Amino acid sequence: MLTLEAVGRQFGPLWAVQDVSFTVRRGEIVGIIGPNGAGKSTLFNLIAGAVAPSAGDIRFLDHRITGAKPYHVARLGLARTFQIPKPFKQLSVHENVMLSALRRHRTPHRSNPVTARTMELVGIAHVADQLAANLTVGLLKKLEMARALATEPSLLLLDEVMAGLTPSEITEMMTVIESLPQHGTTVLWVEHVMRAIMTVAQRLVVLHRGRIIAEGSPAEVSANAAVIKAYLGESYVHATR
Amino acid sequence: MNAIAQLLVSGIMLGGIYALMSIGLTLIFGVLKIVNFAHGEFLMLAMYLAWTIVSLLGVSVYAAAIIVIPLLFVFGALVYLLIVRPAVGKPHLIVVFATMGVSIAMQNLALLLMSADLRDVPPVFAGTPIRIGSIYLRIELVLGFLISVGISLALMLFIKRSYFGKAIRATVQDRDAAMLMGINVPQLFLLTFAGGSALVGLAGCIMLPLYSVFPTVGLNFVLIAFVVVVLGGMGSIEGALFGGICIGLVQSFSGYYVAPAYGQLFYFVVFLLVMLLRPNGLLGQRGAAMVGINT
Amino acid sequence: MVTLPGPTTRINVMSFSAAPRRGALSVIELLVLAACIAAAAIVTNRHAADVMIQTFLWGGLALAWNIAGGYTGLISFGHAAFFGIGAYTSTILLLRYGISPWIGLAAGALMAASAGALLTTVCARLRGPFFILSTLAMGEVTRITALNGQSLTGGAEGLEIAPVASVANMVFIGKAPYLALILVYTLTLYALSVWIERSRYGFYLFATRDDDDAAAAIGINPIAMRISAMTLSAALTAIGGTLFAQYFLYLDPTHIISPDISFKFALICAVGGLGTAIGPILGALIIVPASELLRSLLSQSSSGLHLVIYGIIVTVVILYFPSGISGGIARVSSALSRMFVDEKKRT
Repeated sequence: MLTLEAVGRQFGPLWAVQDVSFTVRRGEIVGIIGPNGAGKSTLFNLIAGAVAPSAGDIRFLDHRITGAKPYHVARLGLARTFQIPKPFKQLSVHENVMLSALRRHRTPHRSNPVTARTMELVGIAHVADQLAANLTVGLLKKLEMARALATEPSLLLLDEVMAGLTPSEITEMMTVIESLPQHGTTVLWVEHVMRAIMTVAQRLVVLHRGRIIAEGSPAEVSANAAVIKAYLGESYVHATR
Repeated sequence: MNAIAQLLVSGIMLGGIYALMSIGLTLIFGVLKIVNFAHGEFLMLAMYLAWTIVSLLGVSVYAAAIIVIPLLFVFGALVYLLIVRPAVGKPHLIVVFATMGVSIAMQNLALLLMSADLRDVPPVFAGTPIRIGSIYLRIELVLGFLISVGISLALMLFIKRSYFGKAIRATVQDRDAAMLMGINVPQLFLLTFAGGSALVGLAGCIMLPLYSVFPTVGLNFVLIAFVVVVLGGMGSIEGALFGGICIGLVQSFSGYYVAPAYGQLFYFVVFLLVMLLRPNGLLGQRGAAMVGINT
Repeated sequence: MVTLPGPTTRINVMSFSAAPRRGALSVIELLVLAACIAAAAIVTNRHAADVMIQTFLWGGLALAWNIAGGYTGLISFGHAAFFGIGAYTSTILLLRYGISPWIGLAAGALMAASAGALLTTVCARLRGPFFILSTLAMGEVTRITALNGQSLTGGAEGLEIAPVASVANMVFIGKAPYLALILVYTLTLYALSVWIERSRYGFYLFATRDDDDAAAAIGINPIAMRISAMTLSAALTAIGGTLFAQYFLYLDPTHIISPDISFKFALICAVGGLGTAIGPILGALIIVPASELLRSLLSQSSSGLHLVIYGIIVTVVILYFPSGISGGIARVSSALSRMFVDEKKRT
C-alpha cells in the first residue's frame, strides 16, 4: 500500500532522514519508533507531503507521491493527525469532524452519518456541540483522530497521538487504533509512548540518526542489540530484566 | 555618467532617511509582533507639528525636533495604552482594523484642521546646495542622511550593549521566555511603541524640508516603510538601513528614468515584486533580531 | 526551531466570526429583511428613496467584500479597485461602443474577477498584514492607472453618462426602478451568502480561514479556495460598481477608487458582524443613514468629519464589540432562547 524507497531529506549538510526504505501492507498496524532526534517527525512529514524529499521515492496505492502537496496526498486517501492538535477553533466539534467527511459526501446533510459514527468510535460524541477551542487536551487529541478518520482514509498516519494523555485515555485510544484495520484503515504510527505502540503495533520500524536500524515484530525489536544500544547506550546491551 | 553618480549618491542619502522612518515600524513589529497601519499618519502628524512650530517660532526643523520628538513619544504611548494594548494577543484582525481606524481618523482630522493644501517650510541655510565634485546635494538631504545614519548606528549599539537592548532582543525571540526571565514585557511594549513613535517624530522633522506635507502624505510613506522593513527583515535595524538604501536608490533612479506620473505606480510594482520574491527580506535569516511566532 | 515572522508566516487572522448556521434563518434576520422590502415598497419621498438605494447598494457591496474578507479571512483594503473596474468597464463600453450596461455588467465582473484572481495568485503566500498591504497597493495602482489613462478613462475629469432614460441602457426615470434593481442585487447576494454558509464550499472557506495546514490535511487546497473566494468577491463587487455608475451617472477615480471606499466596505462588515450574512446588511443600515444624517447636520466645511467618526467607530467596535451587531443579536437571542427552552433539552 505504501512504499518508501531510499527516501532521504537533507537540511543543509545534515541528512535528517537517509536511505529509508520500507513497505506498509494493507490491514497492518506499523509503528515507527526511535530515540529523540532520530528523524521520525521528518519522515512523517515526508510521507504526509508537508516536506519534500531530497532523495528517494514514495509510492502510495500505485501513485507516486514524492513531493506531492499535502492536500493532494489527503485526497488520495492518506490521512494524518497533527502532534499538536490543529482543530478549527471557531467551529464546533461536530463541524470539525463534518468538514473531513465532506470530502467524500459533499453536503453537510449526507455527511452526518459518517460524522456521527466517527465521533462515537473515538468517544467525543458527548461534546459534539462544544466549540473546539474549549476542549481539554485529551478530547482535542481524540478530535484529531476523529478528523482524520472521518475522511475515511485507506492509510492513517498517526503522529504521537498518545502524548499528553492520561493512562486511561491511552488505553481508550489503543482500543480505537486496534480496531481500525477491521474498518478498512491501515495504520502507520509514530510514537514515543512505548507501552501503547509495543502492544498494538504488529510490526515496528526503528529509526536512529535518520536511518533504519531494525525492523520486525515488537518482540524481535526489543531484543535487538542495535536498538537497545540506540535507546539506552552500549552498557545496557547485555542487561538482564 | 554624471547623472548616474548624482542619482547614486542622492539615492543613498534618501535611503538613509527612509531607514530612519522605518526603524520604528520594524522594532514595533519585532517586539510586539503587530503591524501599525497608522505608521504613515504618525509621520504625517510629526510633519504637521514640525511645520506648525517652524511657522510659529521661525526656528529650523532641526530645532523643532526638540519639541516634536517628545510629543510623538507621548502620542505613541497614548495610542499604545488606549488602542494597541487591548488588541495585543488577540487575533491579528483586531489590531489591523483598530490601527486602520486610527489611520483614517487621523487622515481626515488633518484634512479638517489643516485642509488639503500642501505645506512647506523654507529651505535651510538659504538653500545653497553642497557640492562634491560634480554632484550637487541639498543641505537638508545631507543633514537628514547624517542624522539618520547616526541615530541608526547609535540604536544598533544600544541594542547590542544595553540591558534594555538585550531585553528587546529577548522579547523578539520569545516573549514568554522573556517574561519568565523577569523582563517586564508590558512595559517594554509601551517603551518600544512610544520610542518607535519618537523616531518617527524625528524622521518627520528631517523629511519636512524635502517633502511637502498634506493629509494623505502618510499613505505614500507607509508603503515605503513596509517595503523597507520587509526587504531588510522584521525587527532588524541593520535591515532597515539596508532596505532603506535599496528603496532610496530605486526611487532615485526611477524618478529620473520613468515618467513622473507613473513614478508612483512603478514604486508599487516594486513593492509587489519584493513581497513575492523575497518576503523574508534580502538579508535572509539575519542575526538575533528576526525571530518569533505570533501567539 | 525558529520561524521568521515574515509576510508568509501564518497568523490566525479571524477567530471570532460567528460559526456557520445550522438551522433555519433566525427570526430577527427575516424581520430585518422583510422590513427592508416593505420600506422599499412604500417609500415615496425622493430623498428617503435615495438614502435607501445607497443603503442597499452598500449592503450588497459589503456582502461581496464579506465573501473574501469575512468567510475566507482575506481582509482587503483595496476592494475599491474592483468597484472601479466594474463601474469603468461598463461605462466605457456604453460610451464608446454603445454596449448596454446589462452586458457591460458582465464584462466588468469578468475584468474584476481576473484582477482578483491575478492578485490572489500572485500574493497567495502572503499572510495577514502583508496580504492586506498588497491589497492596498492594488487599490492605489488601479486608481493611478485610471487617473493617468486619460484617453480611456477621462482621467481626473472622469466620465459622465447622459441621463436619457432607456431600459436597454439601464437609465431610469425616478428612483423606484433603481431601488428595485439594487434591492434585487443585495437580496441575491444575501441569499448567495446564506447558501455559501451552509454548503461545502463555505465550510471549506472557513477551514482555509482558520488553519491552512489542517485544511490541507483533509484534502482542501487552500490556495485554490483563496483564489476562488477573491475572484467571486471581486466579480460581485464589480457588478455593484456598474449599478452605482448607472445610478449616479458620473465617475471619477478620486472618488470611486479611493481608500475611503475600500475602508467603508470593511467598516460596514466590522460594525455589522464579520463573517455573517446579515452582518453587512445590518452594518449598512446603520452606517449609511447615519452618515447621511451627519452630512445634513454639518456644514460643507467639515468635509472629512464623517470619516474621522468612521475611523473612531471602527476602532471602538473592533476592540470592544468584535462580533459587531450580529454578534450582539446572536448573544441576545441565545440568551432569550435559553430563558424559554428547557435546559435539559439543550446538549
